[in-house]
Amino acid sequence: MSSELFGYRPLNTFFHSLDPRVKFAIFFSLTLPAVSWNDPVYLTALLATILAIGGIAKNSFRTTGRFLLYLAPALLFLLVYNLLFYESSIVAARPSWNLAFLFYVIPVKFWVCPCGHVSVESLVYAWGAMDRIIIIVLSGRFLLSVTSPADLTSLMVKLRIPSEITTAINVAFGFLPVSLAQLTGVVEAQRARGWEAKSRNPVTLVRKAIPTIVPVITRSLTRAEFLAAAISSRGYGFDPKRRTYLREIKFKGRDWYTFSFLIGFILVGQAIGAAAWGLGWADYRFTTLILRHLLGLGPPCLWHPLGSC
Amino acid sequence: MMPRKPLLNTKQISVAAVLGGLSLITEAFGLSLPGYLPGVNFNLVGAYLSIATMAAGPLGGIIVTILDSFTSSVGFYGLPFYWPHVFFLALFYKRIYSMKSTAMKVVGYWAVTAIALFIQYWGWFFLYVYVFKFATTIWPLAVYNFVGVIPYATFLAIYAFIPGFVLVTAPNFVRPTWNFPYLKWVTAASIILSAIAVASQAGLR
Repeated sequence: MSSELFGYRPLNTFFHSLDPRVKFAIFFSLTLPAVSWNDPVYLTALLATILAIGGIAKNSFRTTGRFLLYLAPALLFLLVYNLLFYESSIVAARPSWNLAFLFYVIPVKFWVCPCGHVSVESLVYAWGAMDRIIIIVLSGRFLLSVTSPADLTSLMVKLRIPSEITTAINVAFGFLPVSLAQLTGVVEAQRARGWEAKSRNPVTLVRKAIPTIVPVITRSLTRAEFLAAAISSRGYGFDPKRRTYLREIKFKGRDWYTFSFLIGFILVGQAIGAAAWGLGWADYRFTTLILRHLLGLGPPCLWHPLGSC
Repeated sequence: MMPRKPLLNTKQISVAAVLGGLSLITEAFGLSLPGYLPGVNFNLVGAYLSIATMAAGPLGGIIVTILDSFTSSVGFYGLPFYWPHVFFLALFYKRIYSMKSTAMKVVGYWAVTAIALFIQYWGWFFLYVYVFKFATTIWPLAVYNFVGVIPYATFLAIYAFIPGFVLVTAPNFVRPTWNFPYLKWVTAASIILSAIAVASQAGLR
């Protein structure tokens, strides 16, 4: 049950068979460049890599599509926000040349409008921002789709996280079906009574949520008392420093190879990023220059250092 | 050799586990209050992490945030940005709990939560500006959340209303029997780190 909540499917693929530490290393190798890189060309290549490794791990493209659909309103907000405020808020990341005007978001003459000056540059900036969100979310989903909850706690033990924390997390995973049944039970019971948490007023919204949240929490408090008694009765707490474990994880050959590849990937990525800075193509300029060149908007000096035309 | 003293007792472990599990499920099923931003909702993790911090100390709150991050859309990157709130609440909680007057307890709890939430917010601004690059400076987010009042007020209600209710109606459950070493210094360090992070994103880039 807890596996289903994460989207984990116990399959026999290369990524499923890796050590959880390597899976986390994959997650960070994919998301750290997404944070440090800005240009949509690099980010889109990274996104394609994530989709490809998701395919190798037999992640369903339908599920991925569903996540993207779930993200769509936030992405749309990001797009509109950056189109509206690019000119007034982006200063240093803006290229040295004049922006290539395309159209206004609100073209009507009214008060401070026409406003929302959309340019090739603002579109590229918004594209990069959207790419980044998708990469971070999909990398997280990928990590959880190939890592079982048991692996996650084994990883924490290996990282020498105190046993009290790993025990609590283990208990939580084991307890998820019970908590889920409790939560759905309360929500369904309240819905049967006509409960609905929808309102534009935040105070009303919180007030409407209370009939569901209060019974869920009070039941949880009672359950926690019983659980504590069950844990105590099994002798928990005796010398937590020298606990033994039924299953321990170990690095194998494929883990070392993959880990070395990831280190190389990060180093090459950073080297490309540094080279792009040196050539003046970093920070959205590379994609912008290509698009302007393709649209015939200039500057014609695509290969000119620092792009100053 | 003497065995080391457990960091959490069984009751504290089970409170953190049950509330963390609930938080994880709530996130996984998208059970949240709509209206923060288009496509972004008010999540309910605040209620769970506050009760866990009250009953099990900062470690309890941290466990809830770890479990929540498994299904949160922000993922593991959001994890440390809850911690200044957890430490700040824990720092003042014992004093609030020991107040004799119920009304003073409630007022004190809401006041400490309001400050803790205000501190926590800046870390999240850093996350949205530096990591997600939603905007290039923290100020539009600060204006939206604090000048706009509604987002801050709604989150404050989530973080304080139900935990405050639990504090008044089930005081034995949230009795602070926990201890956390160097809490004052850890809290100060987390606030200073948040301040440095947010200051780095305060200018126009």
